[in-house]
Amino acid sequence: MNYFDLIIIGSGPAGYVAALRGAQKGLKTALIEKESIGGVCLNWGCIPSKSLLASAQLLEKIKKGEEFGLTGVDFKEIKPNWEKMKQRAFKVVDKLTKGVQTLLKKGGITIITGEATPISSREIKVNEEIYTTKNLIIATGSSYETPELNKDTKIYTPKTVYSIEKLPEKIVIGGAGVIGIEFALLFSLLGVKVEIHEKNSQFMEYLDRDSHDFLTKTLKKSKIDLQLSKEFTIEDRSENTAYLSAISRKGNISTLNNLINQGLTVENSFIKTDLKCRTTLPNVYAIGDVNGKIMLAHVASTEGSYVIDTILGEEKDIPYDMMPFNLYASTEFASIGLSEDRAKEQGFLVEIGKFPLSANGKALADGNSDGFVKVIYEKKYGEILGVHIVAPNATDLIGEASLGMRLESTIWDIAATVHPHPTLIETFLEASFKAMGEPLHIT
Amino acid sequence: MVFEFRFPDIGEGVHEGKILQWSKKEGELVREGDILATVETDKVVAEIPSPKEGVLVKKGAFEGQIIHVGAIFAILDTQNSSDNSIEESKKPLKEENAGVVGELETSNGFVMPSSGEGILEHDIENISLTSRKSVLATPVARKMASDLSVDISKVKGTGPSGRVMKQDISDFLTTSKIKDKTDEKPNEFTNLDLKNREEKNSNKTHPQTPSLEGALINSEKNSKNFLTTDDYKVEKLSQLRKTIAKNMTESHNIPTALVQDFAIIDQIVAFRDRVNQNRDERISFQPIFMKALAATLRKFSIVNSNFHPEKEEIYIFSSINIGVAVDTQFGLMVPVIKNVESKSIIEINKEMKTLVEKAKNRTITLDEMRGGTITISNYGSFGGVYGKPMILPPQTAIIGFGRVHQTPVVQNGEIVPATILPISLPFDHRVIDGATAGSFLTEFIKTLSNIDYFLVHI
Repeated sequence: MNYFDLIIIGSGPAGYVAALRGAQKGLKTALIEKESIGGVCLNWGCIPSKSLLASAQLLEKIKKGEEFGLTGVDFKEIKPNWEKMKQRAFKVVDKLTKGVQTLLKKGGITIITGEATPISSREIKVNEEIYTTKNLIIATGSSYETPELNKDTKIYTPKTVYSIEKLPEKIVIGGAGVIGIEFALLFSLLGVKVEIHEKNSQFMEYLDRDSHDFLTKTLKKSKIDLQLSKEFTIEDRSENTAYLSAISRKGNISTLNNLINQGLTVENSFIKTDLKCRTTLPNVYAIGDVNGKIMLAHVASTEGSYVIDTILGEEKDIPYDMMPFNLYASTEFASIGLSEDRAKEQGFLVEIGKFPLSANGKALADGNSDGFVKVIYEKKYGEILGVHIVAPNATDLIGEASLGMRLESTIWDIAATVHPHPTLIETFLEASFKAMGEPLHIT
Repeated sequence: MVFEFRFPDIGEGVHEGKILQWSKKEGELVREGDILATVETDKVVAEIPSPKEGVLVKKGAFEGQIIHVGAIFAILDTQNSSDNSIEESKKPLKEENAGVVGELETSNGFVMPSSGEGILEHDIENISLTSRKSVLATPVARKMASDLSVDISKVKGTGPSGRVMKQDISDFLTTSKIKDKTDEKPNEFTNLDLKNREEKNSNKTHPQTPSLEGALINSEKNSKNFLTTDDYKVEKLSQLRKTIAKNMTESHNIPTALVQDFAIIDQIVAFRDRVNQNRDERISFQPIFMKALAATLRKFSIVNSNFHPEKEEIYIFSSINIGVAVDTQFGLMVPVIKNVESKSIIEINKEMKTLVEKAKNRTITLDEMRGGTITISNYGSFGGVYGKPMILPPQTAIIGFGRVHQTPVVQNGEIVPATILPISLPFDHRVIDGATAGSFLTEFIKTLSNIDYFLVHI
């Protein structure tokens, strides 16, 4: 029978999580995917790019071999092998996507392969077959547009960057957003000369100003040529220069015309949703990038999980104001909540504590003490408003702040929590002490 | 160190109490647990023990005076020092700040622990707990509750595992504020306190925790934060709404039983169609149903009655005056068609149209709404198959008509389509027995289902 309680279009981190949760809670669920299970994140996004970054980080560390007291090889001679790096990355991808497929199968979810065209909110056509559903979740994701700058020059996107065959001498990246910056730092670690064209006069201005300053310095130190107020242009046609466009993403809505005609509201290619991912059509939900709210995988999977509760009548708002933000590089950037400036703008009486990694024992022992932890709290109740971390594993360290803010912790709760020694996360404790005006390991 | 002991929330929705007797004099040393005073509320007579040891510096109210929850009940000098400055602890509140004032005995002997989170302690570090009640709440919510004198145990948590979040505290305050505002009785304490809350709010020291702008984001922010007057509006009850509320509350006190069934009315439908064929002014179903009701009531006069329990008298009426519930823009009104038993269907039809019109433009007189012996609620015209209308006191029954619709029924062993009228009969079980109500409904259905029977009985 082609009749389901729930049909989900798209199997990225939004769609497959919704499918698993839906089936777990007793809904007869089908998941439609036209390309690869796992979507962009697993197949061409977060996971392979982080695998490449791991190679680059290892290379960076090996280069410090002598400094760390190792000998026996000429560390300077060690070079990246782009092809083998990619092979490793796709082994990781393979393992993960197979894992997700197994989970879906064990969950009793019907996987339908093909492009889905909704006829109405209840009937979905795939390969000339009609599937009927009570609830429809659209999780079709987003795509980078490839600008048509020049017919002769191949322009890669973050999705197709893996088809670059040989590591280029130089790469020109369009767009200084998170992904543009991540690729810039990655290629720079691999010894590629990097140039970024950003049409705006500022970049990533939503970062806290201390993190932003640190990032600007990092780009300079990595000799990345960030050109602001400059449109993405092709100036050098040499074979050894690659072009990567990470400019604007659009919602994947090309198959949704029927729904749009029936009242599905779309704004700038993104499906309009409320805080519960409900669209303007009853029983139709949009999760993940396609709703354009915050295009991050953990936002997508949070939506995927929460939307099932909403469908089952236990309505839940997505905590969009508590989403961690990560930037992956050799030294990572992570944050949650408000930046210092925003907190002040919103009228909070703000206290700030900042602790440098250079005063942390573990960071010094590891040989990478670049970075800091910055904690922002409001004075009245001591609630933590924002945490900004720059550290080698900042993206892992932010977890404690995320939990803390979810539970509306105060600065005193962090200060009263025992943090193990020696660890990098001690810096969170120290920053809290500092914010309270009672610093321990700095003055 | 001076300790302000505020009148604790003793639960059960009690907001105030009357001091019956003080057990201690000003200047007297009070030990922790000593009874300070006996207080009477509308639900309990409670002895209020002292949460601390100290000298009773000042009583918050005289004997016979009313004291509100959260108001200062007594001021104690906990160190017997001459320094009377009230100290405020700058230290953070502890996780378990459930300061408790022992247990209170209710008037019916049921022992109810007081939650005590309504006490505002200035020196929380030193309070000793005689019992603890733990509430799952976030640190910020606890601090807010303590700051704003909210009893956190009364707040419904919406966070993970029912945890009380700061939003829940502000929602709780908003709700109680609306309640306070609509309360007719002046409530000095709450009004004062609300003023403080509003001031706090206008300082904007604590808006909702907001978002890092995230990558590429056009997140709709949940801007609903702390109390702002934009969050709700207060509507004063109109006189009509007050009357409805009073009648419905009174109705709720009637021990109401309910019986429901349906009548197959295809014959009535056909009859009405025939009648309406050559008429300019069409006859609606209602007058036909009313005639059938009147015919039935003649056989079951007990259903056509008023009950006055205070006099222990039932008034059984010979004339049949049927009230008709009418939805108007001002609220529910019930004009009464009098002497239905002696009027023709055409007359009733006409009279009803006039009265409904008058009710809708509020030109109806009080007399036209008085004297009902039974009422019909035609809720089905708005939707609903079976409902339970509320009896209009002092009447003893109400007839509810559901949505007239077609449905398959079994007749002579075959499934056939039929037009049915769902009927609900809530009745005052003090006056009407179940057997009577059932028989009445059966007779009413018989009259509605069979046109010949109808014609010879009306």
